[in-house]
Amino acid sequence: MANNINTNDLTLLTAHEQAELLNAKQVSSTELTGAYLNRIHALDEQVNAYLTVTDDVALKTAKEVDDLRAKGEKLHPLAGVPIAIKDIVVTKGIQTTAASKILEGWIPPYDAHIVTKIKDAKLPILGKTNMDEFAIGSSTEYSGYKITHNPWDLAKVPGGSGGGSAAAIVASLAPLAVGSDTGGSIRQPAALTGTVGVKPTYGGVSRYGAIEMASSLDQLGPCAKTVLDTAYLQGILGGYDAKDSTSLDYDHNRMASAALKGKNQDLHGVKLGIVRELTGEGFADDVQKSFDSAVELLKEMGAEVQTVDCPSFDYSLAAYYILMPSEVSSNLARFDGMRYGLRACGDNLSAEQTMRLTRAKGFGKEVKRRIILGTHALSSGYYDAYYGSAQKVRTLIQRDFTNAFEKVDALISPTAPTTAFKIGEKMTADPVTMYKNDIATIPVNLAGTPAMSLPSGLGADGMPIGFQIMAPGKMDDRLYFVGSALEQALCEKNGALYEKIQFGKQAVNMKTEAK
Amino acid sequence: MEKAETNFSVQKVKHLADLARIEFSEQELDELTSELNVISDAINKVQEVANDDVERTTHPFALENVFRKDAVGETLEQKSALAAAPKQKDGMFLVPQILAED
Repeated sequence: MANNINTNDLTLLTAHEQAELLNAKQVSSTELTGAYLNRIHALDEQVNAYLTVTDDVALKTAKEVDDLRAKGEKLHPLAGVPIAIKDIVVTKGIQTTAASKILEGWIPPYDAHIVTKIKDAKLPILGKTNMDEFAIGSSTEYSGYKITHNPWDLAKVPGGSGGGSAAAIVASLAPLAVGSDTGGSIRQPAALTGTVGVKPTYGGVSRYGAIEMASSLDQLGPCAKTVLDTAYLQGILGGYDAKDSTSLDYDHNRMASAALKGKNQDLHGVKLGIVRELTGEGFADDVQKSFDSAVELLKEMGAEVQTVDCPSFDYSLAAYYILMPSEVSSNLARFDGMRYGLRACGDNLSAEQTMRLTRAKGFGKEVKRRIILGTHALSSGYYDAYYGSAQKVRTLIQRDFTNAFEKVDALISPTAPTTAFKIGEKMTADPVTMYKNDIATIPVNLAGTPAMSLPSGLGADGMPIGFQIMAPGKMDDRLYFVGSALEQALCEKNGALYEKIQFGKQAVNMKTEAK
Repeated sequence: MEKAETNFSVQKVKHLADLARIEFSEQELDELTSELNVISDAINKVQEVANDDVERTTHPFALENVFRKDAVGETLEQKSALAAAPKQKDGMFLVPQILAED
């Protein structure tokens, strides 16, 4: 493969394969980064994965990597492999909006902790990806700027809130991307686009510089085409940070070794639990079928599979839609038009009037809806009945996980109830229709435990289906071990799913032939 | 614990909008009210299992006394802190009047 590399094909490789070519000096980071930028400029108008593309920033880092490599300097193994960052993460000198009009034009004066780490490892930053405004949504239709299309079928949604990052990965508009997951915003888009997405243990990746949505649930994590690529990226993103008071200290380099070990496809001695409450009713037939056949593969590799009960999971959606809006209403109070961001006003208005008009103009419909709901849940007379009860449900869900993990090493379920739906299909008068997309992804956010989504196949409509693995806190390596084994088995059986996508292939081939 | 059943009225939503400092048109308030009533049915369910013997979880992993070292770190310079201000004057944020005449 390495002997006849064409730069147009470079973007179809995995990050790990690209890193090998870079380290062997068969390809330069400038070539690789340039290939992605070309592809973005040629194809992203169909996908809308990016809100901002940063050619200069990316090429500057790429050149630096090439120069250092030429000098024989020691570099991070992934140095020179480009990356896209969800627009909820602040980037010094690069516009950051969280896809909200209230932050249009905002140039942050500092870097998020993970951006500093990405810069230290010298990964060229391609740009900022689209999302639902403030990561509130499940389809990327609530972006304040544009709707991201699913590259498998441009009439469909890529999931959300991290639809931009997931779509960029599967369309080969970035080999790696950062997402954020509050109730499934990394995993559900991964499921709907046939990519891999991981929500690490809460506290595993620093939230310093991630614009807060619901602080007790938010977690940043990796997106890529393969389990191994996400493992390498978690190795860069993860680790203790004194600037995040919820930061945990555990080893993230073991994720990649777990993923490599998983490729041996030996799951003897591994106990897996199917969550009864997250299967069957409410999940589409093709989703359930794909899940069931993946379970068979896991058994063939030696895993012991049983069904476990997590009765309180039935209350997780209700608890989430109290806790999350409550924290949203508090966190988003900072956008008041006083110090940065939009100020919509005439000069003679009071500060209060200015705030009311600024927030009316700057926030989108769904964000306002959740702020109002959260304001209600936190208001006097309702606090105990709503917020207090939801916190108790959180305890019950944690207990379910604890009990389950006494019996099994990891839990499994489908990631999303259906494959990707049509753009506009769930933007109805009943917001709960949209909320139900997150039914299987929410429980781990409430418990703080880690989870991964990886593709298990295609549905009746030819759209990808996601398979979810959940592990105990700080045991993220189990996700990578089991996920990598399943990915390898599926790949040997059916071929790599991400290679089946038709989007963008023609354009690349045409260019290849022209050469 | 007393159960709270919420039926959102337009009047109530208007009050919440005041607390949240968001201006809404009459039509927006009507729409929001009916949407909130739909959501309300879905979330009232939490009260079914939140018994008195269950303690609350505020945080996934309880951490205690998280302090950093009392050392001087990097801070923003005044110029960068003010760079995104909608209005500024004499090195300070310029904001609209806080108190109205009436």
